[in-house]
Amino acid sequence: MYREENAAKLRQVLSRHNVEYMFIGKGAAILQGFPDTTQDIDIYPRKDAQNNRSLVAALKELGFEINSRTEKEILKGKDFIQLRGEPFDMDVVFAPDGFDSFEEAKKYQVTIDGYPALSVDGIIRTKRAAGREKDRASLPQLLSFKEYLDERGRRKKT
Amino acid sequence: MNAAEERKREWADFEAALKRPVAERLRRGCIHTFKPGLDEGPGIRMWNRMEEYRLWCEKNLPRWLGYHRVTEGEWERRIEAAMKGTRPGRGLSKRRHIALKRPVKDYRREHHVAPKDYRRDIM
Repeated sequence: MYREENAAKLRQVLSRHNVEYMFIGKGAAILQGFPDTTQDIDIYPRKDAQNNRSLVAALKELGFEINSRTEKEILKGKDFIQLRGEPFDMDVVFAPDGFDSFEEAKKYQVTIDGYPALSVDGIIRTKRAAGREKDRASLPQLLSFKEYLDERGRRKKT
Repeated sequence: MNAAEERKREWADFEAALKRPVAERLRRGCIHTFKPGLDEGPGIRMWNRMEEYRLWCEKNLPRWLGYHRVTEGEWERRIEAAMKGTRPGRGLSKRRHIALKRPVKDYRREHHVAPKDYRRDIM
């Protein structure tokens, strides 16, 4: 099960291993104050050999059971890794919908209390591109949240 | 409740949520619910391409979990169909329909791949 302390530990360990990544999906929206729930956390790491190696080392330190075969597969390069069970549920998404590269997504990155996260704009973009039923269902509220944040920003300026 | 009132209430929720510290946002937001198909089987699954993952979800997960893709047009048609089922004066907005009506309607309308146990659970 995912708990708030897992997020802090995940951030610490990924940072210690110099993994370049950002939180994406609903977890990223929740970090930014979006009032919703999720059962797992999605991260988007940069897909390159060095970052993949660092990620594997970080996952092992976190307690995920990464055997040599799994490690080899991750290092070869995957688009999607789904981790369930202990220590917590997490999806590692190397190619989220809506973005062609990590550099492109990086333009949409925000940092919330030290957590690198895809901005609400970016999340809306991925959900639109993914087009699953659950994505389409969450869009109206995300768009409203974005509108609220924009309005709040304008009010702060004046 | 009209659209303006609903928006006002929603924005009040957003304002309250933004006042919460990040740890509190995570505590409230991370809730485990059992997802058939996803929470069963191996602890680690991997896909070379996103398209393979999407197809796996569509083949192996019950439709009501929401992992099936749908075009924007089809989605709009579903919402319209759900709206028609509303009694006048109920005051449910399109958004509420999505949240409250769609999964059950979809379940009844479509044959999905959920095993019997899950069908019983959602009925």
